[in-house]
Amino acid sequence: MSEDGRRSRRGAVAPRVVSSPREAAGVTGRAPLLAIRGLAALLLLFLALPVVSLIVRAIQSDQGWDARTLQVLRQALGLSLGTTALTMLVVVVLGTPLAYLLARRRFRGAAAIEALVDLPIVLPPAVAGIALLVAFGRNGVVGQWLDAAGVTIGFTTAAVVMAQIFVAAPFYVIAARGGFARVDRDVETAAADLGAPPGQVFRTVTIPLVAPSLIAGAVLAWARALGEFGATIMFAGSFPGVTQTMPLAIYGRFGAGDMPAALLLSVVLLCASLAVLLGVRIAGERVRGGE
Amino acid sequence: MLAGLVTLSVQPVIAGAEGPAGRDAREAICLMAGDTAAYGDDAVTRVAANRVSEEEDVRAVLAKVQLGEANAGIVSVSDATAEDAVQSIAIPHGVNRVAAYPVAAVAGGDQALAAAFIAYLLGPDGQATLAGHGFEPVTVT
Repeated sequence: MSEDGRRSRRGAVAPRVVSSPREAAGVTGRAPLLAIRGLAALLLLFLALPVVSLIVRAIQSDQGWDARTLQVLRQALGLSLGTTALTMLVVVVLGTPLAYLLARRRFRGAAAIEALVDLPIVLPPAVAGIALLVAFGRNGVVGQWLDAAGVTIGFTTAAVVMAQIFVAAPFYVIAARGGFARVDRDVETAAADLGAPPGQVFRTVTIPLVAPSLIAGAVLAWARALGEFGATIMFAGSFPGVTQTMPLAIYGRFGAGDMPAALLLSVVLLCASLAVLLGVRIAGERVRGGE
Repeated sequence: MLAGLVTLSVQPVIAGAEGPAGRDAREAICLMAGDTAAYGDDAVTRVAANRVSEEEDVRAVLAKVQLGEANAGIVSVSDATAEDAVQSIAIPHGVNRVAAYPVAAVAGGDQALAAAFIAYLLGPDGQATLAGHGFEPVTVT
């Protein structure tokens, strides 16, 4: 392996800025650094304030966990975790091959396919909801055949998962595609030259190199699926234990004027999301640190 | 009406219990279920078990029925007008819930303008407009 190849391999695993803040100050001077820090703090403050307010108000709220709120939490959180887990499974199993093909194979219509994959990110959830309805609803383009075959998707947990896959899959595919594209082909070639069959090369060289991208993409997609609201309420409806995920339950309590319950549920969702994002980040640092 | 909702094949959608539409629908179901000779003892439970979704509001209920996603739903007469491609079945008067909308001049507002609007509502033009949208005549109580 050439020195050049090793360097780009490292780059593919952990692209990061290497200059320390002190070095940055040396380059930019004291006054500009102050401005940079001020602007950064402003955005940070804006992002943190609503989150902190949510927690403060939930603590101040004199209403604790009554039986009803606990029941809503149990049903909605269970459904959210179950459906997002299923969504992640489908997105990773189907999304990884798609990302691999998009990164490695140049074929006609690739640009169109990439645009199609990106599309759900840009689409408002309401459009996604209507699109799913006219595709898989009982009178939908595909749904009418399913209905004739006795399969109804609307108002089922399957509809919740479908809505989540539709809005979340692009986040995974884009990240995975980027990861596969950054893998140094020379390393794979070297492994193959040393006698590794293609399957082994993929398993022992490509996947470990691309894993950080896959994990980052999966976390983004999971977060998007967990927060999914618009397409779900339009396509799947809202029913406790069946289609009412955490965001729908929170919106339901809010709409019912039950602000204390909405606050408590929001804080739980917030903490769960924060724990996962933080956990993945720390695990990622540890993997990079041990490199 | 209720006979249909208790059949298992009919999967109605009803607005959430907290909104006015959901509350009225639930009350009407309870009133109708009072006729145990016609519907049996557990009509309310059976309708509840058949529900497939608690929609955000009455418009969402209507939309799901119009799309054919839901088999049936309960909405106000004023929500399912003639141009909506749905078949309306009236809930009998005795067991129905009537949503009343009051109109009044607000203290501190433009009294003359408010009075003119109320007079318009009570007049033949206003009544005709309201009737056209499925509302019952406005009366002074």
